Amino acid sequence: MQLYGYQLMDLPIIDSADLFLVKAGDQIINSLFTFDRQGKQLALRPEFTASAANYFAKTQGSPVVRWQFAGSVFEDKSHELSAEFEQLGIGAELIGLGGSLAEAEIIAMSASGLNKIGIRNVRITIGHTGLIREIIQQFHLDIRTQRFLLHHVPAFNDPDKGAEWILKQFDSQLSSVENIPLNIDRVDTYVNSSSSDSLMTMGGRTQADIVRRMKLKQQRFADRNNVVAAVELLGKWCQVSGESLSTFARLSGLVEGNDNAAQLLHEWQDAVALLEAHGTALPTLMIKPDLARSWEYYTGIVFELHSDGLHLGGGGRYDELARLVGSKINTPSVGFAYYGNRLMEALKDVPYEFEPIITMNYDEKDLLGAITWANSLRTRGLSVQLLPHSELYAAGKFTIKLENAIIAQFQTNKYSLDQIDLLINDLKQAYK
Amino acid sequence: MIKPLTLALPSKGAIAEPTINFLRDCGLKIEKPNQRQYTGVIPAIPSVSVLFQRVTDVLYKVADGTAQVGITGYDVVRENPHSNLVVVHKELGFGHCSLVVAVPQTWVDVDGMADLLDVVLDFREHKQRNIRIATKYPLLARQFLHNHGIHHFTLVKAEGAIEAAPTLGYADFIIDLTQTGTTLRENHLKILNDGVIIESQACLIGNREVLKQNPEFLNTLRILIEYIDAAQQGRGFFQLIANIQGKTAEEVAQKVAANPITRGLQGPTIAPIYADNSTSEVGNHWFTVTIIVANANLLPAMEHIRSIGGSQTIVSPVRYIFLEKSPIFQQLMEVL
Repeated sequence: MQLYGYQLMDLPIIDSADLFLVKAGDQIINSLFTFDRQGKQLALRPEFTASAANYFAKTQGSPVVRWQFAGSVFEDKSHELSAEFEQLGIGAELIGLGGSLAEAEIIAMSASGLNKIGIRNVRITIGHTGLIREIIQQFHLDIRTQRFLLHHVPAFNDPDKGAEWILKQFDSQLSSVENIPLNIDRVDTYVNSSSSDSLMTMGGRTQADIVRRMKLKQQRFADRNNVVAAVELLGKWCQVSGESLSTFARLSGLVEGNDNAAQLLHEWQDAVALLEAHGTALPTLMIKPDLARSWEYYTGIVFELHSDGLHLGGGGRYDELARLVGSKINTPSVGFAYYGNRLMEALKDVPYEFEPIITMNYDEKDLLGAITWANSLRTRGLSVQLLPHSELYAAGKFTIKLENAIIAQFQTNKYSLDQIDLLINDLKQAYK
Repeated sequence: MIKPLTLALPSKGAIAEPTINFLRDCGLKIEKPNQRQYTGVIPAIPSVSVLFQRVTDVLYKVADGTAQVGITGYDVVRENPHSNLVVVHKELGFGHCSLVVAVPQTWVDVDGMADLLDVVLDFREHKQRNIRIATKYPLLARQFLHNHGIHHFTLVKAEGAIEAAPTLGYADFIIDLTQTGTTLRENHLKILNDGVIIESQACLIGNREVLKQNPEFLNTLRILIEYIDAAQQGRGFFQLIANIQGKTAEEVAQKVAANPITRGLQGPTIAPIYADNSTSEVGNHWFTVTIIVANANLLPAMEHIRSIGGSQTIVSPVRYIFLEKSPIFQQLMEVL
């Protein structure tokens, strides 16, 4: 990430719980590690993005920032009696830069990062939450119904659910008008007759609040045809997936007449084209319009990274977050995160090249000589630890034994200080 | 000398007295040397010592090993999960209550959790604040609300009469325990259709590690469980003893067993009565029939016994039924 200009940032581990709740998805909220101090609800960070957006909103720095993060993130699984509260989180955020360039950069960088550490068969799936929002908005539904449809997008391709099931859920959860008069004009009279005046403000709701909501419920009931139409279109939308060229062609047929949606689709295609320029092989890409990442969070392109069945990370565009955590305006933002524990799992069979710590054994009388040897090796970039010669410490594969202040022995070879480069060469051969 | 197993019991609260009564009915009467002291003994099992604590502290004392077992509410266990705790017996059969979501009755537009989600969003949109919920159960409340898609709320910690919170204005609705719902109704609250978070009753808990490592404790606990288990098994049955005439014991047994209700747990026990045969019909003899019937079947069983000539029937409650092995103890061993 350094190569793309991403600066390593450190952000607070503990912050206000509201910061993480403001736009988080169900998964994060359900396992947010919260606690109270002095009347404030605090939380251990479950991820970096909200903290990054908050820091960006509160500091008047550069209009465009590229930040990378690595550190602990926390989940409270105490209800599962799980001991795994802490995980390694690694991610990056590009804040202040809109357009396809930013999206393509984040996706390409996250995928190439996996390749670089030795993970093979990396697959990228790309969806677009902003486009689904736009499609739903054209049906002029109330906010709650829109949210309901967004949250049910994964159900379209669930063999046990599907469009009919979604409509049934809508009817039972949102548009049930049981106990509510169907005639909108009668709602006020009904509320008056159902409650006594003295209790009208009980529970923080006034009579007007209750009337407003009942009318909303009635409106939903009346608008059911629009919901049916939205479900039908979303069903078609979610059926399309595959490689980029043919998928975009089919999707474009579904947004005819909706200029905003067509524009977003065009931008999505641009981002995918830029990915190719970044060197991302097209066969590794899959366009998946029903890709469901947290609807609360993301506003545009979303993506996931997989390898051999493991979901290793993902991210997307979240332009509203900075405003919600204190910025005056929406700020274009894209980011991604790797899931540390799954990375470890994916890496467990990957051959790992590392530079070992070299142990230098010495007798007490040769301590000064040992320090000279060790420092000479360190100035040449090797890690060296000094240990007095003792039967307690078994000689390891990378142990150099100091015969005296001048002669060092590695394996069966002996070296004087002026042969140090030869020693280093032999050490490197050994750990290759 | 056997190390005494410490049994923590609630000292006050809704299940304190029922716990003492429950143990007494199981044959485990508690004796307190001094009413002001927080300890006691169970003469039936001398290797048990009793420690009285507040209902939540029972759980803490068992979790930290001060007591090895305890009786508390299942709601308390669920609200305070602890890896050291094991629920030995989940259903002791008393202290029934439910943790529920209750909203003001004036919210005539709210019947279920889906409605409540609407209202929560309405609070944020039109009142620019989170909805406030009074509860003593923050963990269970949070989980339940999150599972229903409700994420933005403020929990108001409260003790005592939570039902009054919406009327007093410091919360908008409540999540609290209820037994019959009467107190909620009296405070103008209603339970949501799908607003039952957990059904609770008194339960027996233990410290997993301590029990695993101490066979003496485990053995004392087995005796304690045997009493409870056998008493609970027995509680559902009556023993019925009737006198019936018949030619042979087999003939009487066939008549009794003809009805599944009076067949007993294994089959009827028939014993001859060595009586003056002047009271029996010619060729017949008197027999005593002993059977065990489920409580709910007592009257149908009586009718059948009468219909086959039974008389002078004695019915008495069954105090204990000891099965081959205590099922509750078997389950515990599997979990440990």
